[in-house]
Amino acid sequence: MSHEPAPFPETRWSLVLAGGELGARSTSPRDAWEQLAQRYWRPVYGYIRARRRLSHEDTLDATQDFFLWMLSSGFLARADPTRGRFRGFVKVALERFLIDRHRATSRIDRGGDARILALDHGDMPELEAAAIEGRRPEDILDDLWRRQLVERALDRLRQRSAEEGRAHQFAVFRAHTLGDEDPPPSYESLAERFGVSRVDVTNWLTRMRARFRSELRREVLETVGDARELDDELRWLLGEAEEQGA
Amino acid sequence: MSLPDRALPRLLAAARAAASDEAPLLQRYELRQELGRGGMGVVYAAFDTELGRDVAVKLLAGAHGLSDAARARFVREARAAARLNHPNIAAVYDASDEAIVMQRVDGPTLERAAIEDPRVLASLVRDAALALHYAHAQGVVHRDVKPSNLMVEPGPPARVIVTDFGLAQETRDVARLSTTGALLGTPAFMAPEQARSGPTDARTDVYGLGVTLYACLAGRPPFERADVVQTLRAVAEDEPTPLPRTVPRDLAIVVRKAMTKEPERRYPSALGLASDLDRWLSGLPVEARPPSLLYLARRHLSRRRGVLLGALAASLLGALVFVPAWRASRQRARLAEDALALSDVVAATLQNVRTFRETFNEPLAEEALARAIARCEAFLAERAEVGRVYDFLGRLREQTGDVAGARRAFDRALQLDPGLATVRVDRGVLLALQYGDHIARQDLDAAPLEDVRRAALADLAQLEDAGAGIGPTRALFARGLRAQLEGRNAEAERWLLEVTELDDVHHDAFLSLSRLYVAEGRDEEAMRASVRAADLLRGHAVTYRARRDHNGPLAAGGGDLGAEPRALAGLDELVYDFGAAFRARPTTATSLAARGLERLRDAAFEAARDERGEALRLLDIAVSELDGAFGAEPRPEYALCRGVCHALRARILDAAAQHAGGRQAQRAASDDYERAAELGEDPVLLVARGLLDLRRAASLVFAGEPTEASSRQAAGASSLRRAAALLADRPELARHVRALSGADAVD
Repeated sequence: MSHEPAPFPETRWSLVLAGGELGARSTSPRDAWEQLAQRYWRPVYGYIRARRRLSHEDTLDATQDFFLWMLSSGFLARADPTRGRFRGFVKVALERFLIDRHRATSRIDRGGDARILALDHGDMPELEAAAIEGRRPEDILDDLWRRQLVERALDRLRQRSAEEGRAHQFAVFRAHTLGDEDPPPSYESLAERFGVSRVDVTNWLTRMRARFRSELRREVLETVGDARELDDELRWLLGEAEEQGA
Repeated sequence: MSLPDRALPRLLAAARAAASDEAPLLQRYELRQELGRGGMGVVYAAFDTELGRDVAVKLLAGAHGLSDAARARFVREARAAARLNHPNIAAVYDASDEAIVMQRVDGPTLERAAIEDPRVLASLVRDAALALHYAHAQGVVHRDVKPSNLMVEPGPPARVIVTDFGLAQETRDVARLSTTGALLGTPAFMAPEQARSGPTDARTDVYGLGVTLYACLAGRPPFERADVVQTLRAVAEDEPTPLPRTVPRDLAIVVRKAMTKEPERRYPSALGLASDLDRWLSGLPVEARPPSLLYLARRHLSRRRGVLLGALAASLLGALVFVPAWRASRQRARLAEDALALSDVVAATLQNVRTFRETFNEPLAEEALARAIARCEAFLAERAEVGRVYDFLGRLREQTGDVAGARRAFDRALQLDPGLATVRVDRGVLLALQYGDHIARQDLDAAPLEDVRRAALADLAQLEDAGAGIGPTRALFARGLRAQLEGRNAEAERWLLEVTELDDVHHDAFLSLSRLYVAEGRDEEAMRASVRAADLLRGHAVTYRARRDHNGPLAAGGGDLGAEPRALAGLDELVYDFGAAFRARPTTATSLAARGLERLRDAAFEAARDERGEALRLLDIAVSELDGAFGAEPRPEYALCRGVCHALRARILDAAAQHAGGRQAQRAASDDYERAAELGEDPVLLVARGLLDLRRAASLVFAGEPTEASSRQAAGASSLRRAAALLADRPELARHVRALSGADAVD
């Protein structure tokens, strides 16, 4: 589609993990991994908590351990991005990790040069027991994963809109999609509220929707192996298709 | 940012909507303010966020109420209009079935421009007519020509720009029209055949130009009635109120002819109207005749009016009876115009000649030149010998190719007025070109060659004194020639290339470049430049313009074409030019052929983008169009073009390693070339055949068939030699064709 500009780039998520895409050019694999962990630790947290029924604190510890285990166990090095999307890979890895961890009596050795990942869980509310009850851990991971992608895309959209001097356009978009009203406010009332014309509202919403979609696509792009998966994953994300296994 | 629960589904819905519900065009173009409302929709000033430029976007009003067929036609016509490339036509950049993105013109519409001078109006409408003629030749009819669709870019000189191409829908149903009348605007400018829901063609636009001129001259449209239905009836049946007496009568006759109810009584083409307006502007008798008494009587009878000659007819006749005598006296009066007025005429003529040549109308160009020359000569004979007028005469003769006559005129001008630096430059340019001619023809001892060179340099030495009087392009050209004469080739090349940047249809610049390249042994560049110059003489400027735009992405795309011999790419250029020739002579066969060539061109473009499937599909269509053309009229060009289609197919299939298919296509190409050769021996054709044979030879070598390869090679070389022999009158080109055969052949 015309507004989803880039053809599938050469970047596979292996390159992403190697730091090609995530950070500065000098980023080491480990730093890259840390950034990726930063990005996806919440779904991981949700999965572990639902799977093991640990306390909030213990789950946070286990989440830390998971990401370090990925680096130290060599599991990450054996990852083959051509064989599936990153979300599926993380699920498989989580299962392996939980088995390993169960086997070990103590927490895994964090090693000489390993340091604790600085996961920013300040804004991570404790998952209510009710939210976990009766749900499959995979579904919880998926939900949180989706939410994470959407939040990141939205955040980027906000930042880039501000950089481009379109903060007002983003504000209209936010009022339309994030507001409390139900149903969402009409274009007319938005035009009135922001003191612009209805044409402006139409334009801006159209534009912001398209930009939002391409930000989502960008996020997804970093976690898939090829163009086909990109389409599948994007459809899954948007809820346009049932997921065909992970 | 943490999301409230309700937001997630809304955000996801917004992203889904971005993909499906919205017109994709509007994601790229930001609407700003409304510019106007009219036929089919609302026009907005908009901003292209990708290219960062101002555009105009027309949103199709009520698009949802249209049938699929109507929508499809809307898009098709918009896409057809998007292919038009003309300085007086607003470019269409993009289109969907809901919106059209167009060039934004800075200026008022003709309706708002309030131009009162009939000469200015006539010249604007003439330019619009030339633009429409170009569009008609491309198969695009506007159908809604009216003052509000002609924009005027303020000058001087003011430039007219035709907008809203092909956007008007045919209305088959007056009832529907009257219900949506508010949307469609007044039908006062509709042609009678549109009011009657009859078929429309180029002559519908001729009417539109006539009624536009009428409305501007009279200050109101010709038919204004109480409601839509009555207006439509008036458009179909009533005679327009005569134009005010202040309107020059010949001009009124031109308007009248363009506005005749019956299409077959109008000018047969927009070009016909353009040239009659041009005649009027040059003070010559127009071709249009006032309607005869008998015709008027018939019209009135047919309308079953009680009175044979009503007040309307009486006033019309009263105005028209005296025209011939009046016109004759005006002609004499015009002969007495002073030199200043003459300079306007000459400037306009030179401008028009350029336009005519760009639109393949050499006869019209020659006619215009002959007229202007006659006026200069009459002035010199009857009034006074003025140096400046001799200069005009020289410039005009130069355009006709009369070098000796031009030289005499410049000499005389300088005799009368030695201080005219611009005339020195004019003569210097002429001499420099003459010197180049001698060199090219190798009649090295025909003239005291060195004298010509010195004289040219002496004249061109005045270049700096002439200052701004000679115009930037001509100054650059003169500079280039001077450098060339002094042997500073690198510098000359730079100036000449700069000239071609400014004016990519500057014949003499390409000619000079080709000579420069010949001198430097840069054969391929020489061939390209000389082919270009020769084609420009044949009036193919528009094709070059179109191709320049077309070739942008093609050249950038590289791909398979880049690996092909550039000579073959040169052949493609020649073939495109046939399209121009076809368009100048519209028949069933030529229009089929022109369509076929369009497809061929599109196919070449797709091939260059590596869209092989699409290219092959387009080639199929091209071949079938050319089959039709050849069936209607078995001309060698059509067979040749079909051959080129097959040759391109062969190239594509070879590139895809489908060698069997490739060989088959090569055979088909070769058959077509044979067929074309049987019908007529044309150098272009021979070059095409020769190059194809050489290609086949090369692939046969790789296929391990050396015997067959060498016979192909011999055949190819012989075709190229024959072509070279036929090109005796274009020695540089011949030389390079021969070089092609020598370079590629073994023998």
